[in-house]
Amino acid sequence: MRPPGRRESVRAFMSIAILLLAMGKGASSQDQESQDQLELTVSALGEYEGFFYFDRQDPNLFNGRNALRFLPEADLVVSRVAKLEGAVELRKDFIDPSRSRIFLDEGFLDLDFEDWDLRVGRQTISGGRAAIVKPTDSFMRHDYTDFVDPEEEPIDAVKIDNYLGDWTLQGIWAPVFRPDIFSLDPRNRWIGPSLGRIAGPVPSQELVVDVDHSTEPPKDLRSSQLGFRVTRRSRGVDWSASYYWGYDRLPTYLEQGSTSVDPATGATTVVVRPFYERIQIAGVDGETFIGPWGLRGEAAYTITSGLRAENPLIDDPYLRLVLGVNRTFSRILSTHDLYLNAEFLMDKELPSRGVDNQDVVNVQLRHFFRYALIGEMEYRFSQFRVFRSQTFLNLQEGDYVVQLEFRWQPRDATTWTFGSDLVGGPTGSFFGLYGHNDRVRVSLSLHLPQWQPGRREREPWHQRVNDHDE
Amino acid sequence: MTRLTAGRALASALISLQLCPATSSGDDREAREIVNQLVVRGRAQDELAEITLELIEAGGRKRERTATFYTKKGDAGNHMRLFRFHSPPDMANAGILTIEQDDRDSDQWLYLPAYHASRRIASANRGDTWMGTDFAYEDVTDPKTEQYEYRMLGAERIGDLDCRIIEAVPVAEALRRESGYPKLTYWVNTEKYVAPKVEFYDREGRLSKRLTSTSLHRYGEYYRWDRWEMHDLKRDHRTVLTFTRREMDQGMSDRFFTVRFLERGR
Repeated sequence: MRPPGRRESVRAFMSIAILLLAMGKGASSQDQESQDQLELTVSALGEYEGFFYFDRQDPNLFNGRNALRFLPEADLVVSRVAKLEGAVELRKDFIDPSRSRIFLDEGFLDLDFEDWDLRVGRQTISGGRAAIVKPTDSFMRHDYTDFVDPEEEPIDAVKIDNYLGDWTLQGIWAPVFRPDIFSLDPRNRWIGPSLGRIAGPVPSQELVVDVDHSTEPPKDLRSSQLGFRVTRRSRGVDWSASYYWGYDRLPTYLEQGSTSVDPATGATTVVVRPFYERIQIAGVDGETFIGPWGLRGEAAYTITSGLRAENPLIDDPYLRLVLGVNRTFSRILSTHDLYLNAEFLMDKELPSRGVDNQDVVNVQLRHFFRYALIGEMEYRFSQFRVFRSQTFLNLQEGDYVVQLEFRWQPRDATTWTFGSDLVGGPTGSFFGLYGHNDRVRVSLSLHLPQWQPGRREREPWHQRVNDHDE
Repeated sequence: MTRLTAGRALASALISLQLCPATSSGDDREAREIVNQLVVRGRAQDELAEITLELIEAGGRKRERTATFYTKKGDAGNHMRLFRFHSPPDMANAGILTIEQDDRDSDQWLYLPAYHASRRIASANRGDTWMGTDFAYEDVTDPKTEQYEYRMLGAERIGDLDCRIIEAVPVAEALRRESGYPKLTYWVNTEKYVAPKVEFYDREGRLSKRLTSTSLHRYGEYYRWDRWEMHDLKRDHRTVLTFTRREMDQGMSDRFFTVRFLERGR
């Protein structure tokens, strides 16, 4: 019996969603009052984003960003237990056309029962408690086209949460694997230098990279991923233990295929094949406060398919650790607040054998530090004027990223952001490769008012909510 | 008495003074009892309120928010509160959950939809501004009267309410360190046990904020102000809270005061 194809997987998914929706309606259809629960809310976000790189010597690179984004959202309360949410992203990038898209950013069914919830569909699943590098955030997909400003991406999944007093048990099934987005376009300033390691020293305007997707995990149930998380919130401490069985979201390694040169144009075409290996991640994370001091920790051990060390391009198993401390100082200069966060990061092979992952893997974005520090500072002049900085420092190699930002809300639902990203480090270090990528950026976001057509007066809240407990 | 027993007696006396609230001549029993009644009589078993907040700058420019506020007295007598925004759209569904604890700092979680998960936040900063308003966290929580010393200052009529004027000074060590107010003054009507005015003083002894409450209504056995105005005198900035709907003692479920409800709103 052949495994289900992509279309069949989608049909199965939709069937489950419709069945669950019918169950949700059925659970409440006995109560005639619930027919008045139908409630639609529509909203939208519009955004402009622009970058300007200081070094623009190479005209063949994408020397900035000039992009518009429109994200309409809708949520529909179907009954006391069922709600549908959806959002579509329409993005137009006038400089890097590969980023332009019409994309379902969210599309899920939420079912809420007494002690458990179910969410089915396209959703963003977040895990872990560290600020930026989150070793246990296994189901978060990213767009690393610009990897100092990565964007979160949704996945298609079924997520179930069971609530037992202080405990929450969570199970996640993602039926089809979706890798992180990354660019192998030689015109992308964030990948070009790394491509040289694969393609050799070919000038970017003469290089064409062709990705052979046949080596990726199958787009069907054979590439399923599973995850479990146990969380407890009690006595001032929140902690979780988690397990993930899935894939590296960035390619485990890239293999160079054929290379050909077009005699007419002189362009070199390199075929690149990304390989994604299965991994397991066991992790723990937690946070608490001792007086005004926040403490956070997160650790994850990744078991790779490199256990027998047969393929030098596959990671050896490794441990990632983040330990952080934060504090808010309030009433500085009477009304200002200052938030500080510092985190220590470690990425280490365990057991250690041969050459470290950092020195072997050819997708260095997965292991670009052994020991590092992240510092965050947020100075709030008011709720509407905030200055923020974020710094990454590789403690061994000395390379760094410094991101500065001023956020201003001249009026509600309107936010201007002015920022600067400074990247650099010693020759041969990871961010040292991108030292010519210092830039300034500006963005404007506008949240349009919510619209609730035909909104009816709600029944008394106590009737609406307490019926849940019957 | 030997030197050792005298030392022990002195130590015991000092420890006793630390544990008991000061009942020196600075503390007026009648004033304390009035504030106790103000707190106790105002406290419903549970309460839901729908609120409009207006933030008014010195130049008159306004920003408006709408929110729902849930509060309930827990089984151990400590309070649970959940505050959820509905507008403006960039704050919709953001919320904060607070569970008071007797033996340690309150547990607090903040939920911002952009982060897809709630985060624990420090509760120790009682002087922090509350939700970007002119209120501080300590302004919107009931005072622990045993941590203050009270003194009667006089009487004054405000509107149609005869009020006693009571000064409150924090005496508990931690509170003196963390609170933004070394002194507060309450105007309390002892017929209905409501406070139409409260004044807050800063560490330099200057009047820094004034809370004026109007539009008094009765909800069952409780009196409630339906309009609060907090005026930050230093910045000439105001926050006006208007309560558009209230329901009290309706048997609110504890499930409102969970991280699950904070994140999912259902």
